[in-house]
Amino acid sequence: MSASEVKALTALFAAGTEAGGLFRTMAEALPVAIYMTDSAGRLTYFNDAAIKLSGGELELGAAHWCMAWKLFLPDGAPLPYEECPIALALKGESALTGIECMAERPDGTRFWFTPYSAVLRDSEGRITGGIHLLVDITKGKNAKIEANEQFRAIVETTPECVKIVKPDGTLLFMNAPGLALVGAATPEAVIGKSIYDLIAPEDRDRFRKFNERVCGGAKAVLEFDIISLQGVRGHMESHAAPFRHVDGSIVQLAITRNMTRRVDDERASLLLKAIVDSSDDAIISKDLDGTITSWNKSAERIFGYTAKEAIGQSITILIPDDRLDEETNILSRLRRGERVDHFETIRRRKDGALLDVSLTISPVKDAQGIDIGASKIARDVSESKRTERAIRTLNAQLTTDLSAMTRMQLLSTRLMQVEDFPVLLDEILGTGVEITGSDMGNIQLLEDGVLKIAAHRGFGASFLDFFRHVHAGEAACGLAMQSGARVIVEDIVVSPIFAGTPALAVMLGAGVRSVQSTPLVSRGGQVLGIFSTHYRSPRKPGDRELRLMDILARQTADLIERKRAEAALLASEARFRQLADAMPQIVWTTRPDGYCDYFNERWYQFSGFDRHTFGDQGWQPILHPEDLPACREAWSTAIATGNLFNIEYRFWDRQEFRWRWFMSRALPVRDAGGHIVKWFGSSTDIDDQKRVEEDLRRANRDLEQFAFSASHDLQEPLRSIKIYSELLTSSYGERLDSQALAFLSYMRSGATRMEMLVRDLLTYTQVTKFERPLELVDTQQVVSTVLENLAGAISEARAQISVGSLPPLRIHNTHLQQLFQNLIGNAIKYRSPDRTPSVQVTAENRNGQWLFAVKDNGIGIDAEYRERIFGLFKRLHTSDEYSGTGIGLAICQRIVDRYHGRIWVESEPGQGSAFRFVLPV
Amino acid sequence: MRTGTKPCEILLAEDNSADIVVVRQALEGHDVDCVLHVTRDGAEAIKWIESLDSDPVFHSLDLVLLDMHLPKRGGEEILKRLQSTRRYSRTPVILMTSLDSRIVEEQGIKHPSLSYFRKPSTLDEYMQLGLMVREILQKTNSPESADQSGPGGIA
Repeated sequence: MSASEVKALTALFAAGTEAGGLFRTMAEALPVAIYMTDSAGRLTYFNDAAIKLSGGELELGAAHWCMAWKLFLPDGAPLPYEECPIALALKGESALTGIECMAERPDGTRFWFTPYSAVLRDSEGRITGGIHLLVDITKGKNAKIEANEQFRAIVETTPECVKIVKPDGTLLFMNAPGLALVGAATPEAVIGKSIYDLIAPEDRDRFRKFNERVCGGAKAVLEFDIISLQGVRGHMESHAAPFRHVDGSIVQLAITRNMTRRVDDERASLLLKAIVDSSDDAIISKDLDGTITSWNKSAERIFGYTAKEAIGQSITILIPDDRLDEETNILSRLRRGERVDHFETIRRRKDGALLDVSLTISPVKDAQGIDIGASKIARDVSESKRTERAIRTLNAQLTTDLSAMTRMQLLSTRLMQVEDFPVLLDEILGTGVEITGSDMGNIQLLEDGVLKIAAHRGFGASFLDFFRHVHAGEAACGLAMQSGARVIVEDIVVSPIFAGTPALAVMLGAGVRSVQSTPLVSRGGQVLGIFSTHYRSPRKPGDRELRLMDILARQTADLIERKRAEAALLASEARFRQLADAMPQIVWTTRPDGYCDYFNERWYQFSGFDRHTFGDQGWQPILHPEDLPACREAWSTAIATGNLFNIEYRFWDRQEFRWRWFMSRALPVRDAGGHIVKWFGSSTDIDDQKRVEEDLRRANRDLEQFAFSASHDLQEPLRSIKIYSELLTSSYGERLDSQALAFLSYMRSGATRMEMLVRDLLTYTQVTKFERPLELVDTQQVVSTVLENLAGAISEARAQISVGSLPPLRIHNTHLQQLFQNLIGNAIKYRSPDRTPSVQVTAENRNGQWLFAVKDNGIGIDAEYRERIFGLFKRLHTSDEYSGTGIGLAICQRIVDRYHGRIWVESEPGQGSAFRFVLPV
Repeated sequence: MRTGTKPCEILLAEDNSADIVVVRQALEGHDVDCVLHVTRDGAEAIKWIESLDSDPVFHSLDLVLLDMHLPKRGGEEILKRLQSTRRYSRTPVILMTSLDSRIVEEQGIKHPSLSYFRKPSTLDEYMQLGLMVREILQKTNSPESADQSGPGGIA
């Protein structure tokens, strides 16, 4: 992947778009382990194959890229985590590709892999993470490991010194007899160090050349002296052959004989042959004419010819005809003494199958340094070639999809930036045409049941004119609109959809042979429009193409919905502001978090703040400091609970230079999902109302005080008048004539009446005095007391009183008593002379309120007076007919009002009356 | 009622002359043998009470008939002053009022021996005051409470 592709991929992942989702879907389906890490190497993404490869549980954000693996280099040396290719790549060091590593899982199983890493950088170039592919190469490795095991078995059991030397002279391996020969107590004493230190100084140069020649691919024999670690000189003879090391490089494999203890020559060469045969690579030697002179076991395996069949044949039996000149070229290079290293080419097996091979070819010289032939090491690289090809294909697909996704990602960004709807639709269409590789396309929007073209590519006037308006069921787009599902027409010429319609000719005229129409469906399931792409030839769109189309259609539908919602919102917001600015109240809106984002004209007018410089202060600057804590608490409670905000507080009136009372209320505005999107609030000037209320309360208090004092003081002289008129009668009665006595009696009854008036008026003013009690009052008990108080009147009238079940009430005892005493008293007082008085007291629950009734069979009340009787001093009879002050029902009215109830009368004149009242529970 | 000894002494604090006449009639009507000291306003009543301690030989007190609403000083003040005397702090008091006794009770007036008389508007009812006074005097002068009462005694 190129840096820009990786960048695009990063953006996709970061944005979490649907295109990114598509990548993930794709990555999941790949057989290659893919994972992403942050810069510290922690996993941020991994696919299924990565889970399988890891052999354990992966956890995002916690697990490290290498999980719990132990890592090894191809030569078996442990690879520290911080030096592994992936760690190096994340550190910003050049990322290695193609290296082979081995990992050991926690359960002890091992696998070989080749890592491919690409780092992700942010816009400033800092490394933010990496994308890593691990290609499992275990299978290809197994054969080599097997051969290695054979090699090891041979080496471990032989009494000869066997060693492996790198081209630079580093001793890579030496078996136990070898270590004894050089006098090393442990392998560490010599392995990893330069072999040249052990060679006698006068032989060192010769030995170096010998080593280089062997590492260059030639077999050779050398006699030389060594100086052991103990300083003992010894004469040695080495039979050496080139050998492919596990890391792929060619090294010297040598059997060394101690010439002081003569060992059979043949044994050594047999041993060498065994080792050559155990090699995983085909090792072939040929003379300068190209005739094969040696052929090892792996050559048999790889090329299919036995040694017998091959030796003596021309090397060209292995070379495909079209590559014959390669051999000529190689031979001429060899003649110049050059070595051909890691030459990748194709060779033919006995059965004719072609193989990918990597060749290392070295000239072979005789003791006099004259070329006598060539040694060829051939490695079968078919397996790794296949893997490489798979990765290349994968990369190509990834690149294609990435470019499509990048295009869509770009579009997503544009959707957020560009305001102009037609421009956006045109860009969407362009993207669709591009990523699906179509020749033409259009987007139609559904308006009033008709599809209208909103954007188009590659069509001429006649097509656009013909399809200006499409109805349900017409053409591919009309069918897609009707069904709400995609319609694909692979070839319009044979499709029944267009057969015999004028549309066919128009389509063909526009060069269209194939079309797909994808409906644009809202989140609510409504078809908003159609996205069609057209092709010049008959065609069946691929899955990938349709998937991309789906994503694009989703984005387009969302865009259309968003644009429509925005337009509606703009319109409603404009209406709202127009209305709000015309309102006499202060109107404001806030965000869901309580932050004020709008005030109407009245606010600026009242507060004196400038609309442009006010900023985001809210109402605090003019709020009375004493009201601030309560206001803050009420507001934060409202924000937290989503309940109505309702509070009274004072604002500073800069014009009148005083505080004014305001009542503020705010309600949350919720979206379809019930989420609060903003708060709508108003503040109403209630200062005048507050003032009137306060004045009224004061006036009421004064009036009560006045009435109380007046009533008390009025009673004193009345008592005197009454008592002294009695005294006059009792003490001087004999000296007065009958007329004087009658006058005295009028005087007394007038005073008595006045006394009653004063007493009732006193009661009337007292109604508002008592607070509403906290405890329930036993209404049944109160009515019993009332009946006792009225016992005289009841027995005199022989009245029958029935009392139903009455509920306890939260009403002051005195009030309840006054209420029932007046109503029951009236029922008895205004009885009909024609029948036995009967009074029923009842109560029933009506919608959470108690409905009481005091019903009689008395004289009844004319309809026209039914309101009037509750007024103060209102009477329907003279005091000669019925005694009374005209205050009793006014007291009842006042008591019921006091508890926010209602009282009224229903009556049939001459038949009786029913006084009813409701009281809240 | 009285048997030779000194008549009992009653303080009447009342501003209404019409009531004074009727109170006197009620006491006579029930044969209460007493000296009735009448004060017409609060200040006068307090002055009289203050003289009790300073002039123990000539003054004593067996009962107070107190109108709550007097000019100058209110009934509550008069009660307080009475309770601060050395010998008469527990003297029975009858509050006379034209108000409902419940309203008076709400005012929270406290005294060791307190009775209410609601001023009536009929002569018969007013006469009951005499009976009430007699009963209270009899009770306070009974042997078990004799040491607490004033120097006068009722036989």
